[in-house]
Amino acid sequence: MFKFESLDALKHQQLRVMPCQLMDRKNQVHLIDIFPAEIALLAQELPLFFNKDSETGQFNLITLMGLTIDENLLIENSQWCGRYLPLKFQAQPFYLLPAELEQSSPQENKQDSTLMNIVIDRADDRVQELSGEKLFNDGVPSEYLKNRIKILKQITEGYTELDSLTAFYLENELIEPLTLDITLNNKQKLSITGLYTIHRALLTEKIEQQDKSMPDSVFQQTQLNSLANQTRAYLNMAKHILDSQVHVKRLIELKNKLCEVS
Amino acid sequence: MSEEIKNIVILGGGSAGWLTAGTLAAKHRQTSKKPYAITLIESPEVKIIGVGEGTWPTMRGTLKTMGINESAFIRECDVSFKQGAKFVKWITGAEDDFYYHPLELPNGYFDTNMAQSWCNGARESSFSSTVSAQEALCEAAIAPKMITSPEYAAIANYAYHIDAGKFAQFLKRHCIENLGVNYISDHVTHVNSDEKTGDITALTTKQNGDVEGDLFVDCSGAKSLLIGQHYQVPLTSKKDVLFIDNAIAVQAPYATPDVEIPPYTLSTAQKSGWIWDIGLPTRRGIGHVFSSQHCSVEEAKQTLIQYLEETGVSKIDELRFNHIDFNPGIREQFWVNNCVAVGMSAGFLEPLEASALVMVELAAAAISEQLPASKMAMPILAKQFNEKFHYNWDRIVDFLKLHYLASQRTDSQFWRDNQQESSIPDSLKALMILWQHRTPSEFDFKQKREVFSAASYQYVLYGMQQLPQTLHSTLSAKEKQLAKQCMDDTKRQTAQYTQALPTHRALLKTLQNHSFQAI
Repeated sequence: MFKFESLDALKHQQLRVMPCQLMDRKNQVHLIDIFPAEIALLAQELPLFFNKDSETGQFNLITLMGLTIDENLLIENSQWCGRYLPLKFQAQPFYLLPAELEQSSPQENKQDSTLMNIVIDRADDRVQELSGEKLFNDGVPSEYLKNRIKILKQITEGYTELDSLTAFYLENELIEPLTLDITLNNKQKLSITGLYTIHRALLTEKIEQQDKSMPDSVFQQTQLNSLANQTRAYLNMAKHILDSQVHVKRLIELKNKLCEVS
Repeated sequence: MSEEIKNIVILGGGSAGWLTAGTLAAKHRQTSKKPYAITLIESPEVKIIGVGEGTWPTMRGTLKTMGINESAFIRECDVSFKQGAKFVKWITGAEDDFYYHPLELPNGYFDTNMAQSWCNGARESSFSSTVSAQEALCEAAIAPKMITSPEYAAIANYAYHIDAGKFAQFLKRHCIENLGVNYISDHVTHVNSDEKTGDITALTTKQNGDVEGDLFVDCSGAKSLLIGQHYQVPLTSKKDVLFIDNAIAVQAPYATPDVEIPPYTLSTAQKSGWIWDIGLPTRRGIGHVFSSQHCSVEEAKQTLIQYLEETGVSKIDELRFNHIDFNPGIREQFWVNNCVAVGMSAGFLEPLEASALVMVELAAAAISEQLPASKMAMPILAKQFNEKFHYNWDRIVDFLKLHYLASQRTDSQFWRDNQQESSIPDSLKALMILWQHRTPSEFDFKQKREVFSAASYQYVLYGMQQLPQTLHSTLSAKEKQLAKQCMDDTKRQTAQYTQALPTHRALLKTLQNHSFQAI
């Protein structure tokens, strides 16, 4: 499925990558990890949930793109038809892998980036020598490549930020499990389990508490420590995650349309 | 003197002492003004016995109530998962003879009569594997849950195997650091009591003077310092029913570090007793319990050594064998005046169904839930407690005896003596007659929370092929249909679980670095 190679200016001087809005086979997934910095944007158009990593049991933040496994309703004619493309897709076909583990899966890039090696997936359909962005210009990394590296760095930082975010939610018991039971127009019933969202009543309570503790003078406000700011930001994100559930409807509509056609 | 109960003093720091302290302290964990203080006195001179490495699923609730993180408990107490007990050579003694007592209730247990359906049906597979996926999970050494399951939540019902020594240490730290239990490490030299009422007023210690209290919990083990020695409450021996009175225990390493760990307690019947074999993540705990009337200590040790050899243990001469003799018996009373016995001080029976710790949990919960605010009401609670726990102990005696009674083994004096009329309690005799013509039912027992439910009796009786001689078919068409559906469900679950769940060792390995989430 993957064929990873460490970046090499000489070996990869002719390589080009087609724009990431063009989707590869492996983007046919019903969910993808997203990060705190993406919440506000993505929550405008797609439903966001937590799920658990099957290897570690830890919470990840994901956006749902399909209603069955390996279904991505946001891909139309191999193009991403959303407004915002999640970072994990943007970075493709580049990945961070532990230096000695080039053959393993791309999930490994949760680790310390200093020990990581940037690799390109040669099995990705978008990697060829005819059209698209060049990786190197005369042996020097192109702007395009520099941007991809920046995105990979954001992903690594994103996992760290996510850890603090989920720790905060768990501490405040704001996360609760949820099952999506859906009946399509053709009467087909779907049940999506293993999802978690924000507990609405507890969030409301928490926000009210926070509002009450608002300092009453501008002077005091400047004294607000970073912790309180952090709390406020996390509660805002929680609100976004909760409200993003309305977009499940969008997925159902897309799925219904798909069923009509086929 | 005030009659209000303000100070509870627990004597003894084994699993019993710390479980009782933790349960009592956790009851008011969230309350700002605690109704009473809890003090535990542990003698630095007394080594804890640490009875039992096996628990019941109730332990999950007990630990959760105490606010313990399950993953930390598993890591620190060398815990493995237990999904039931596998009894080998108990039926006829043949090499391939085994059955399971799984921890899952039969599918459909509350909606139809699965036992009757199985007895009257084709019986293509064992009762336990017809009504639950757990036997298959155990045989394949599969875990009862996944790393993504919330803590304390089960996919297949489970309990734990623990390192009893580490467990007591773990509970001790939690009780002191998180639950505000006062701890005194000292030796008790004298018991002071009120001349008029007979109530204990204080325990005199070597270095800390008198420790006063309103309620005293005797967790001093087999010595039974307060109930046995101070109040002179005699122990009623059960040796006439349950002959086993000796144990030789040993800890053995695994043959290779990555061998699968059985997620069940293995119990193999022997000539004059049986051998337990419990797999913890890093070692096995093995012991031969036997009847000294039927077998010498030396002979018992040889039997154990032979078992160790047969199950792949090498360098047996380097292992430390621990010999314990005990008097199987139960105190005539557990609660006297302002003193209540919990754990071995209350009674001890062979660990055939891991009932030691669950009796501690039940006693601790009863004290915690029912303790009145004043000593005035204590005699009433004492009476209730004594009646209830006599009933519980008697049911355990019956249930353990059932294992011997249902056996067809007659190959040694031990097994033949176990069939003697005079060794069978009347209560069990009556049930055995009833169950020749009807399946065990919840109606056969009077408590709301029985120690062993009718399902346990079904598992043992039908596991040992003791089917009713005559049995009416009393199920309606709907109930029959439901029973069939439940059996199909079991098949589906078995296939699904064995495929989706990790192996027991794989989950324990994951838990070394990762934790279950609270939700």
